[in-house]
Amino acid sequence: MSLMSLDRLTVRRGGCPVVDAVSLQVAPGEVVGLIGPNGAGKTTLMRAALGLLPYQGQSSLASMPPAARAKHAAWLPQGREIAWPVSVETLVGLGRVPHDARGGPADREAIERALQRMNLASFRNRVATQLSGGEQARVLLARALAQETPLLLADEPIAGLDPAHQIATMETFNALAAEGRGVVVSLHDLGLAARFCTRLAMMQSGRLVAEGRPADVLSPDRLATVFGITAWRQETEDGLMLQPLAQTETTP
Amino acid sequence: MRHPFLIAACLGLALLGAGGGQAAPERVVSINLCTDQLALMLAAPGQLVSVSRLSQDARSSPMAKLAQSLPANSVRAEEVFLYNPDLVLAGTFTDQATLSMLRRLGVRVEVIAPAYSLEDVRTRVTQMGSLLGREAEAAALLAEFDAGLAALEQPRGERPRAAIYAARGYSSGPASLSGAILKAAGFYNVATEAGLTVGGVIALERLVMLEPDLVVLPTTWPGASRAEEVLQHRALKELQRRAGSAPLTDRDWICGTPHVLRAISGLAQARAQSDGAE
Amino acid sequence: MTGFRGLIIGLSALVTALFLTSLLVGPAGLSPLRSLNALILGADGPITLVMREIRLPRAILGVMVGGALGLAGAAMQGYLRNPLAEPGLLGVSGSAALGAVLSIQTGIVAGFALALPLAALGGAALSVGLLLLLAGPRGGSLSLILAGIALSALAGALTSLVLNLSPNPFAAAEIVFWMLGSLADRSFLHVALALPFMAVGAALLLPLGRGLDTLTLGEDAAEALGTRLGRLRLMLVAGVAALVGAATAVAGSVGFVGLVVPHLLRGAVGARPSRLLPASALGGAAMVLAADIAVRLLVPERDLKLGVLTAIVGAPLFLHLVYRTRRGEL
Repeated sequence: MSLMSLDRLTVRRGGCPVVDAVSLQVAPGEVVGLIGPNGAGKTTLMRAALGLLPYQGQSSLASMPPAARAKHAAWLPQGREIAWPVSVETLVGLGRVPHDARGGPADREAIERALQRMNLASFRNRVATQLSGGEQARVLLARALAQETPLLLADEPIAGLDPAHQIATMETFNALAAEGRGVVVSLHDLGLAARFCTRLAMMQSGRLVAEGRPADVLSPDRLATVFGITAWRQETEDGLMLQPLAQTETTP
Repeated sequence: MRHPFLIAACLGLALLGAGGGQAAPERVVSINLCTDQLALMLAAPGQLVSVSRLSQDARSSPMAKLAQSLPANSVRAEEVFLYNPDLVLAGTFTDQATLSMLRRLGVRVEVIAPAYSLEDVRTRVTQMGSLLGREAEAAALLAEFDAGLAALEQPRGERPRAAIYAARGYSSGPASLSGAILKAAGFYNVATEAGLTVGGVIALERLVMLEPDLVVLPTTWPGASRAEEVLQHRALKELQRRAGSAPLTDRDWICGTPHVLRAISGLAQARAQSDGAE
Repeated sequence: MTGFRGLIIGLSALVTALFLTSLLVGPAGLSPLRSLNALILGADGPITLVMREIRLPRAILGVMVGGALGLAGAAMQGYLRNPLAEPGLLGVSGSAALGAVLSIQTGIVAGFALALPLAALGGAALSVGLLLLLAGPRGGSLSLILAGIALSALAGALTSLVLNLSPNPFAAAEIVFWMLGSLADRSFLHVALALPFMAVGAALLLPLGRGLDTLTLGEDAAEALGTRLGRLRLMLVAGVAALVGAATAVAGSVGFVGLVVPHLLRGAVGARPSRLLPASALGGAAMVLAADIAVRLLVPERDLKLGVLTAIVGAPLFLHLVYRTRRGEL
């Protein structure tokens, strides 16, 4: 069973394809890392997959009715927007909107689970807009978790977090996968991507250029041609360890 | 009735002593609805060269037909000056800037106050006669007016309660021309009880509580205004149903000219009808 | 939840108290007991007429106009995610007034009474649509307010042009009513004209609460949460236009209600747009009733305009909000 299936998904902006015929499957138990340099089309791919942009090709998510899709896939956008000074608990509770329940016990439990998972229980009555940027990021992720969907799409969820919370967040994704859910996460930290994702999808100029095990995708060759960097790589028992070192002569 | 006439006439002549000494003007331009009418009644043929545009409108002017035979002006100094007048007749509420501009241009400007009573009407007639050098015509007009007024004299006795109610809830008090018309037609003006002298706004609910026997209402102007919407209020309609109502034809009520006789006789008829009905 | 229920009950009680006060205040100076007796039981004499045909429709209109403006303000702020959004300030009321004045002065209303609220609704809808277009999705303060200033100025100028060209001698002076609003001498006729439009407007806006809540997270997240933004936008424009159009058609443009009320109540509802909608409707009703009582108590013999009082309260608050927005505190 597949949680998300994209078939030759294409998004054009002014005639130019910014996502070019990308096909991708996500199955339960997977944490798929979406990597690629700035402007590669990662965000556009996820938004189009959700049907938030006009697209060509097929997306199993976008073809669902909005209400059903909201129960199937949660989306954490990159822009960390919190428009009103609501409490953390209220904000996280917004994840329950698709479930049509109005603050019943199921909702309260889901909110509680999400708060616990992101280690935010002590923040519940704080005003969300008064938190630090990193704290807001965690609150917003907790909102997406409270949606309790089989699939989570997160756009750079660990950008701006301290190392402990970056690791904690990636571990949360692994835990979700272990529960049989699927996660698609875009990120720039190739080390964390290699360490925590079960699979990587590498994009360049709108195309999917490589897909598979982190160790296979993050070959020195591709690091050079796609990212324009050299890196220290080491395969260990825990998987690939990777540390970017320097720019190559010609940055693509 | 004779004495007030004489007094008023003398008063008017005394007031205008300086003006009376001048030769009769030959090119007169009137720029006020009320001076227009007085001038139209008294001027010699060819003496009046222009009247204000407002007096050509039958809704505001009882002499619209006659006024239409003259060129109309829009009460602008430049336009008036081009008529090359030797006298400009204006009202108290004419734009002061227009008047001072005309005076700077060397034009003689006379300002005639509005009438607040039937006595004022007589004074204005005399005043106009003297300004135009038409004293004899003014005296004849006054005699006619006095006769008309005497014919309309109401029997003494109980005076029905009446209120004049116009746009924005404006009501005329006893010290106004409309109040004088109401009194001459034999009515008691309830605006007195609302504490008004010249006039002012009476809230609709106060009007209802004053319980007039007759409400004198103006006809609404074309083009609609919110000020006049109060005249369509359901409470007022209900009041009209309970009391009577009489029309206030603006053209006969606005200016202190002998045409107020028509306003008085209209109201007197309304009174006679309501007396007859009871 | 209980806090919110308490707030709604409290606001309802306030509106009820102000409604009764509004019924008992007036230039005729009637005794309260006699007044209420005449209102409910009916008595001979003019007092029943005063209570039933003059004061009752005025008080009812106060509730309706205030509720409409409060609700419309809260909905616009929720959608634009900007506490400075307000129908009066952004020229929506002004455009509604222009529509109303046009329908009156062209004489269409004389033949077809519903043309008045319909034309006002049209004017309001046009301006809300334009604002959403000009201000962009996020409703940035600067572009929103600048667009609003231009719209207000244009609508105001065109309104005075139409009134100046009217053959009616009273019409020219009426720009004040259309710009500042008043409930003086409004009758059940006006209640009947506005009520259906306000009912439709409220029915369109009140269910938007959840969608507006999700917009707290931005358009993308809201849409991914199942909110249909296109539909929401359409309902918002139609609802705001119906409410503001109907309110302006009968009472002129009363400004700042949609600004002050949501601002005062935002804290009490935990800043949740969905809860702010009903709370602001009640708060708006209370504010307009209070202002209408005040204009009758302060200068009983003059038709002091409602907008004068709401602006005296609202403008300083608006400036305060601008200051805080500039400092990035909102």
